[in-house]
Amino acid sequence: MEGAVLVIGGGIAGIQISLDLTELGFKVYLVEKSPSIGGRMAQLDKTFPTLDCSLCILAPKMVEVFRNPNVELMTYHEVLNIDGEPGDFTAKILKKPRYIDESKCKGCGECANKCPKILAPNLFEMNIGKRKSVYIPFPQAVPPIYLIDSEMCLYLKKGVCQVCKKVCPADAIDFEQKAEEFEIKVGAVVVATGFEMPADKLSSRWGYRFENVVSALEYERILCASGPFGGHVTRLSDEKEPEVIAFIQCAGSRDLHENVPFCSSVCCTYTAKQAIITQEHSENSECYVFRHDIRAYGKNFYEFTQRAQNEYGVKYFQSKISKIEEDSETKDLIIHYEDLKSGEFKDFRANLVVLASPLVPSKGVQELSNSLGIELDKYNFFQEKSYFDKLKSSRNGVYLCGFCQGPMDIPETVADASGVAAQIADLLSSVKYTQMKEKTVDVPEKEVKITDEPRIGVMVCHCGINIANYVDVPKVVEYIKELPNVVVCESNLYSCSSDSQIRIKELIAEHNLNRFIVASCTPRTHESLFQETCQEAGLNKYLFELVNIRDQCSWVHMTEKDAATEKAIDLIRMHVAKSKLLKPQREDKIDITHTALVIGGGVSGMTAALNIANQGFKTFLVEKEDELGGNLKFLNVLYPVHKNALELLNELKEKINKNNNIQVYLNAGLSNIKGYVGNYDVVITDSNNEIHDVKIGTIIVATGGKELKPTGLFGYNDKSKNVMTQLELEQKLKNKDTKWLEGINRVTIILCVNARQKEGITYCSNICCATALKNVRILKELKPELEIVVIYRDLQMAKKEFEEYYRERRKDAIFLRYDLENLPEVKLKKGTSEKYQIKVYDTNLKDNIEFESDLVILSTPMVPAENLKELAMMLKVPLDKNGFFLEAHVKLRPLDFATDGIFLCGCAQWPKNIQDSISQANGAAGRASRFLSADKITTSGLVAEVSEEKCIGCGECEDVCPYKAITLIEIEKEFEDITIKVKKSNINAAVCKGCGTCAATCKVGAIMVKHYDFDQISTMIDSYLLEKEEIKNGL
Amino acid sequence: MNIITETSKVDDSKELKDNIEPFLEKIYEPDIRKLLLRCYQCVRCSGVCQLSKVQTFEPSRIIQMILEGFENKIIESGVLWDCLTCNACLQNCPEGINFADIVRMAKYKMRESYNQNPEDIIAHKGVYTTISEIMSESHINPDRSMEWVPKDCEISRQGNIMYYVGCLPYFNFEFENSDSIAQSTLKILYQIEKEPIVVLQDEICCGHDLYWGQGKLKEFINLARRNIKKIEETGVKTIITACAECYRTLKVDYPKIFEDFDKKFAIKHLIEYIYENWKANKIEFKNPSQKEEPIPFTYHDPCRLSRFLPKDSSIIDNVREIFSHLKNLGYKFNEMLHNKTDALCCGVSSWMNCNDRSKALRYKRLLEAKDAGDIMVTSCPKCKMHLSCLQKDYEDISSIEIVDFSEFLVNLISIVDSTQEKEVEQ
Repeated sequence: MEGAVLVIGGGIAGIQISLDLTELGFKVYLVEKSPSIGGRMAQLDKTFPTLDCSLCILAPKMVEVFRNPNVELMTYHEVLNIDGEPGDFTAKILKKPRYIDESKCKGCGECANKCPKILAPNLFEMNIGKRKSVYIPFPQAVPPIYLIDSEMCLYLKKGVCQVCKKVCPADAIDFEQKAEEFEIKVGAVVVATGFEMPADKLSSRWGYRFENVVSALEYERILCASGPFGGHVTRLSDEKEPEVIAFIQCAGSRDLHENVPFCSSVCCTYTAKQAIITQEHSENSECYVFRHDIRAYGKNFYEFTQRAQNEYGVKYFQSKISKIEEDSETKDLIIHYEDLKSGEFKDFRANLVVLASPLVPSKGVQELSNSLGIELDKYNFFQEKSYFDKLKSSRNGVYLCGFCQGPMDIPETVADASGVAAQIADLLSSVKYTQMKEKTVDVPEKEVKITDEPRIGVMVCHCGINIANYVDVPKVVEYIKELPNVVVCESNLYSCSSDSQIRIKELIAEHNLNRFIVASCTPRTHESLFQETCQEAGLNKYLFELVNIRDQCSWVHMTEKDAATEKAIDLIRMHVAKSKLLKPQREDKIDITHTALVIGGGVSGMTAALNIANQGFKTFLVEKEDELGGNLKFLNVLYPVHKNALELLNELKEKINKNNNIQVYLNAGLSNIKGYVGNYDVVITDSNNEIHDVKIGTIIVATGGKELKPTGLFGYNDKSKNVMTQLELEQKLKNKDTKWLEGINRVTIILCVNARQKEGITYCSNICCATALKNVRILKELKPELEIVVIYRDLQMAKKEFEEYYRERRKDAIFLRYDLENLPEVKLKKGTSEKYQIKVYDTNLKDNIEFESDLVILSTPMVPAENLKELAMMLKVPLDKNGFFLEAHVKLRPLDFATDGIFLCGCAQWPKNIQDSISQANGAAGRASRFLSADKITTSGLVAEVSEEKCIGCGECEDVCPYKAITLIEIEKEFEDITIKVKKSNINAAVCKGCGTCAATCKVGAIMVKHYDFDQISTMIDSYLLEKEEIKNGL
Repeated sequence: MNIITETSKVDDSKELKDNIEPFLEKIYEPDIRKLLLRCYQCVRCSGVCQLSKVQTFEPSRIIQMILEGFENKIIESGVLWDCLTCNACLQNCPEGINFADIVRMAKYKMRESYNQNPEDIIAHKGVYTTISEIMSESHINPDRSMEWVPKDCEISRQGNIMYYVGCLPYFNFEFENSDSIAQSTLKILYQIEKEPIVVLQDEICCGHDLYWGQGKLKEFINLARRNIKKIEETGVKTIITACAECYRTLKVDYPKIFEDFDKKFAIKHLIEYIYENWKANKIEFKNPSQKEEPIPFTYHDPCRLSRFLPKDSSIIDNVREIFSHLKNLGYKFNEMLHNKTDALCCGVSSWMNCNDRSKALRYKRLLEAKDAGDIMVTSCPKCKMHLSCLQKDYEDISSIEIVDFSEFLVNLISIVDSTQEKEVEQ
């Protein structure tokens, strides 16, 4: 068995897997065929629905991979073949020549500056714009090493030039490099090769050949601040700002004619994002979206598309366009469409058209499937082992993650990545930590005393143009340089890039600095990166300060450059003042208990428990009901493969029963959870009211969801026997007795009952459409002569399999479309007890349709399980506005809570189907077991500290602490003639998050937060108020 | 003079009528709704529908009504008689729903079950479709005039290669010079083959118009059966036609009913035939009357050769390859705005609905042609007739010379002398 893993593909999927795997104790070989990791996510401007800068949240992870001693990064490499068995694979790898010595190149870019050839299309910019033949794919590329395009290089092609060789200060150019092949031994292989968007393959209707028609991926580059137009919304023909921008949905997908029969799943949401960003970037622009079904598949994504309309004024046309033509004079585009609302055919003139063209598996999957010996499905995605085990490929020991398995968004990719890591940890659990290198800091920490003269270094970041366009960076540098104790101050393009880390270390050494400041973006994503860099330079990480001049200055003061610059100067000056008072802080190592608690015994909870237990950790599975299964118990068959739900349930139950590491508590509850990551004390009350105190290291929340009962809607009440919900129908269908169907000739299914509304439940719960269509099929199988009418708003059938499933179901039912303005009406027919009169305004026909129905099925949204508030309080984790649990970050931490050590999966997070629940549960297990795999965890030095001397034991701090880190303890205080017991506040450093609420509350000033103490804060305020005048006078 | 003569020689009409149902099943599905189920109402068809530009006609709405059970309303309204069956909708449908084919079946239903008769809207008082219908009777054998056959061309009743002429000789009643296409085609074939070409005096109609336009599917089946019998008797291996409709019918629709038809015979349009000979280096193009100034010309794609053929058909590309080669011979090829599978309709389908709306469609097409060149080549005799007919009404488009592919090429083809070439090589 090999304790190493080969990961193919360096996009967000491959990056996340690599990071998780190293934390689980495995060495990783990360092979990427292009010259840099980052993948598609690096090309995106911002990410939905939080509108985070995509590269800003990705770059820290890229750098983390780069710095991780247990990830061997092999960019510009390819995998030739795989031999062997799970646990013992031999992979043959091809290293392509960069013609640049990787060990010598410092990424300075001098070669590209002087390279005379400027004709190569820039792939990273989606061919908008050019690059030199010696190049780096993008400024933040990892590794930050240049390469020569052998197809374009004058020397390699024609034997002339060699300018780069002459100018390279590092003597890194090596035209003699040849392709090399070598072998590595690994225990498992992960394929994470992603997607491409070949808009040029579309048929002519979409008008891609016209200059001002771009694919959505090209538009991402146009929108991006570091893109070819610096983020100014620009069209290509005249480089002017377009006023009317049309976004075309389903531009080639869901289309047999274009050979893309599936839905790409992400376009509806990213289009809303692009439209929102467009409105933000250029005030005068008008955005129009031509959409068909809205398939915003993911947490709160439907509401995001509504925000685009309601808050940003983006106009949506419900229409699939017939064609796009060009006005050859103005280069405007004429879009021919039918407005489904009015039924009129119109020509729409747009200055720029953005096509949501199909996302398909990336080039070369065919070859890769051959060389890896794994199968492709009919759409050219990699075939999963079985539908409910989508992370495994057709070959044992080879795993799949991300878009190469099927269309999915970033959160799902990230969750799956953790799931793959977890499954590999299961497979290779016996060889964890066998091939790991310890991360060592070579440089010993130098002593910095508070009495030492502060020597401060400052680096001011351009962030491409993200900051530099709005803040006058040279002016800032000029000013800061002159401040007392600032020894050195410089600016750079991207402080987060790996060459900047080298520069920071150089500066610290060169100038013997004992404080360092970076003025760039948010500490949330970047502080730890710079702190580590400082550590590597021998500086305690708490002697570093990050000033956020991006969010605080360039973003919020976009239109007022002078004010933004002045504020940046103020902020940096304040931090310089604080920096002088910074003290080195220590971080403690705490022991952890190697056990897990899984709350909820549904399909997610069972899957998570199994994975952790299989990795060898004792797992407690707590279920409030008297048997395991959760919602799976109530289901009949599972779409789209029509597997019997009971079969899956029994398989899982059997595995649980057989597993000695799992302790199941049924009819059980949690009466108390105390403690902190690695050390929870949990009190479980079981069915006999017996109390079990267990020590727990990590907790997974898998409490599930439930179907909303639509009382009072569409005739649903206790009396009406033949108006029921989907879940109630499932119950009936599960029962093989079909007698109840006698006398039922027409069934009407109403979708989106009480969902996707303006008020109340505003979200789309994603799974109801597919459930409804599944039951259409089952009903038809039971009684073929049944007439079924489906009344829908949009059919949420994202994912590769679902479009075809829907296509098949159209044979079984009549589909009528309604909208929110005209809800269907259901009336009990007079004189009958079992017949309903249905009236619906069919927006397809633009006409009222009336018919009778014997049975009415209502699809209602999934809502959170009951009594979650209590649990959330106990766990000290938040719920979102809809009552589901709120994850740490919707994009990159979908399975984590902000509180360390607690994770979530399944419908506790958001309504999801069985396939997603299973893969997410594996993901949560992977995230959780990272803590269990380690021996100790390191706490933060940024915590509150009580001065025992000052504390009067009033206990107010205990009341306000949101993390329950504070307890009052009694100590004995000896005086000359008496000894008394006094209460004192006691803070658990492992639980404390350093939020400072206690410090602000304490009446006697007994609590201070390390690294943010009162002196430090005061000196910042002083600096702002008192030194302000000096700037104005001085500058 | 073309005469239709009754013969009492063979009367197999009873036999024909008795076993027509099994054949009908292959080209007729009474449950039309079943064929539309995949529609998800993207309504792109209504957006591209060429007819919808001149009258209210929304395929998507028609489909949705049928899906919702209002088929009888659609059928009763008679609206489907108006469909041009141009196939622009299928060309654009993401689910591959063949609306024109459904219209074809609906027309049969409209006739058979609803007693509708579209005679009012068949042009030329329905004479041409009546001729086709009469020919479907097995006891009727046309005695067609062969006056059009050029003097220097030999024809026969037996041989390897058949020229399937189609209705051209019948059009002489009303249309000037309609023989010219047949003459040019036969000249080309004879010039290349250097042996007698099979042309039948008693050739009968392929049945295209009855099949697509008039909803007379049984008559179509009879025509197909009679045709196959006649063709088999000649012993030919290859059938060549210069007509887009005959081509589609023989190439695609006959094999639907008679599975081995396309295995027994190779069906080629004149374009394919010329293209293959050119590629095989048997012919080359020469222009004896080449002018100094190149003449701009364009090509009108008949729907039957563009949108009505399987995806692997390369006729529309082949014809363009030939055309672009002609630039050395004084002919400059220009595309019209709408071309290939996106081409506009000639305005009339199966002699139906010659009216103001059809004129509007044809006028649009000819305006595009005028922008593209002095000559408009097409490869469908009907397209040529419909479009030429309009030129009488409108001065501004009357200058365009509309010619068939055969007429355009007949004087540009020369045979490559293989012996000479060998000498050159040596």
